[in-house]
Amino acid sequence: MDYAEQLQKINQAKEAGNAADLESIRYSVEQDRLLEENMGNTMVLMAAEKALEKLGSHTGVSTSASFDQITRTGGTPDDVTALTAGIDDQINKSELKGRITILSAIPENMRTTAQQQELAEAHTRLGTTPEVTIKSSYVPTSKKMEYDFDFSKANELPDYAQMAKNGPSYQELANGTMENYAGNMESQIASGSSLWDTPTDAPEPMTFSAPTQSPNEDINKFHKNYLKQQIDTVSKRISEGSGTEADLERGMDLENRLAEYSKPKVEVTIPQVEDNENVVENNNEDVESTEQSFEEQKEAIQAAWEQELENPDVDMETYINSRNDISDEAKLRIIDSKENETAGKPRAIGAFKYLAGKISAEEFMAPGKHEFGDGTYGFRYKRTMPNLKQYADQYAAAFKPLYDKINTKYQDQLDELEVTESYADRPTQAKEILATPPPIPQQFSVPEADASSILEQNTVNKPSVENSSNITPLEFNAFIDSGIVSFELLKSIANKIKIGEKLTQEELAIHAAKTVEIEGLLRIYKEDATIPSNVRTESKTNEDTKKTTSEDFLPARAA
Amino acid sequence: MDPDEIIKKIEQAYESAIKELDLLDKEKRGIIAGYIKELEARKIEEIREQLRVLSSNTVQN
Repeated sequence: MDYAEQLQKINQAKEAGNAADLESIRYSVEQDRLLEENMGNTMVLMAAEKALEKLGSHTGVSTSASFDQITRTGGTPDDVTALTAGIDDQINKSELKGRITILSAIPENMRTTAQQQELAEAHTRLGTTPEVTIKSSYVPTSKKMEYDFDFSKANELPDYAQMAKNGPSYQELANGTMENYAGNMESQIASGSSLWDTPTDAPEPMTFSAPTQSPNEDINKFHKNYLKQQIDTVSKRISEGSGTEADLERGMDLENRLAEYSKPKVEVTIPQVEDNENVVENNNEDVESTEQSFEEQKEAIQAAWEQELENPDVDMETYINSRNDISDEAKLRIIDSKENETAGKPRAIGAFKYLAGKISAEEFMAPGKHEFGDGTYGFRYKRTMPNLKQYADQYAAAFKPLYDKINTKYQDQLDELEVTESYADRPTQAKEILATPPPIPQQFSVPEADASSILEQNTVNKPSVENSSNITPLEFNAFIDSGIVSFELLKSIANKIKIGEKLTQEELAIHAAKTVEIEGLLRIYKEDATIPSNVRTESKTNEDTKKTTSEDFLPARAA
Repeated sequence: MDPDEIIKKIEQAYESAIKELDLLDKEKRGIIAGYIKELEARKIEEIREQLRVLSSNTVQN
């Protein structure tokens, strides 16, 4: 499989945001992997068959060829048979032992049924019945393996008796081995194409999420700065020569996310006044859903983090680097075997736990509970071995870059989420602003009965209690966009001018656009004693006043 | 354990078994050869005995 080509395809699909392409690549890679895995298994089985065949075709010494000579010299074949009976027995046993050794070299889960039967038969013929007889069967309904153990001969073997004396009981050891075996089988059942009962059993398709922009510009600005800062840090490491491949990958990822901000975004329209209630309601929903999604996102990141540490993708280079036990030449020889990527996984998991201080060097390097089996993390080092910690450190160091890469990736995601969350109060503020009821638009026509009360509120002698602008952002935006100003606001500005209070910037802007209307109101206030009975249309003498009273909302002249 | 390592282990098992078998075969050949030698020696002894008998009969005549 050409990995460089596949990587390029993946990057292209990522750039294009094409999930279908990514899924197609994943499927193709998965098929190749399975094919290679099967090829690896097939090669093992072929090698074993060849070895067994060669061993079986071993002709040995032909006694028949010597029979003539024996007969001529006065001997009989029976005599020869009797003489060689002992050595023939040794030869037979040696061949059986050879067959057992060859068959035992094949991992249990890889052996064919015929090989399994032959192994059992060879043990029986040799008189060394396996210490534990196991009958296994796959139960499709529960999708689990079931085992039936026979330990009747287990304690007869001195090695195991010793093991039982020094450690856990043999039954526990055997059960432990079988649990691992069952685990392997189950994982194969979950992922192996040949064992999928239905297409729905296949692993979930790969998913990815594109970066999203916040509707809040402050968050976007902060996020952009954060990304730039991170890019600078990574670039610095790379330029100084201390950067790793993970840094390069991270840098690319950051650049891509920053590039997302260059894409055009959806314009936001200012809601109409009558829609204000709906806006507030929708906004409340948005704020609530944002708060929920933060928690969910955090949990999702942490879950993905844990999952990746439990099931990391170990690339060939990392695995090869971890093989401190083989020469460089051997490393070159096995570099083409993609099977090793799977083999690197348990080592990586162990290294992560060891680096996190969750397991000791002994646990990390420990052998399997069965004498032929690898340990949980793929090693078989004896617990009593000197310098075990040194070996553990060496192996763990090989997986440290991968460990750091995974941790950095998820920690960054959590950091970014935290920053975004800290800005989440901005929408809350917006909600409060929007929740403030807008001023109720008043008709310019004032009923006669209320005219005196209006005058009372706006008399020269009455001190104003307003020191600041009453203009809400919504009103001011409406004025900027369409020149609409409510009568209430015009009245407020006129009143401020009348009592000599300083106008705010917004009020000055409105005053500049509505000078005629405000001056008209001021003139009305000046005619203190002669209030028009109906300021809307009944005032016939003042053209300006008439004009100002003809609209509920007044368009700006110079806006 | 990767397939290469397993194959290597299988090959080692075969080499070890065949080496042991070869040694036993050699031992068996040795047993048969020894038996044949013994038979031959016995035969030669018989012939010598017959020749001695013949020779003594000739002298007497």
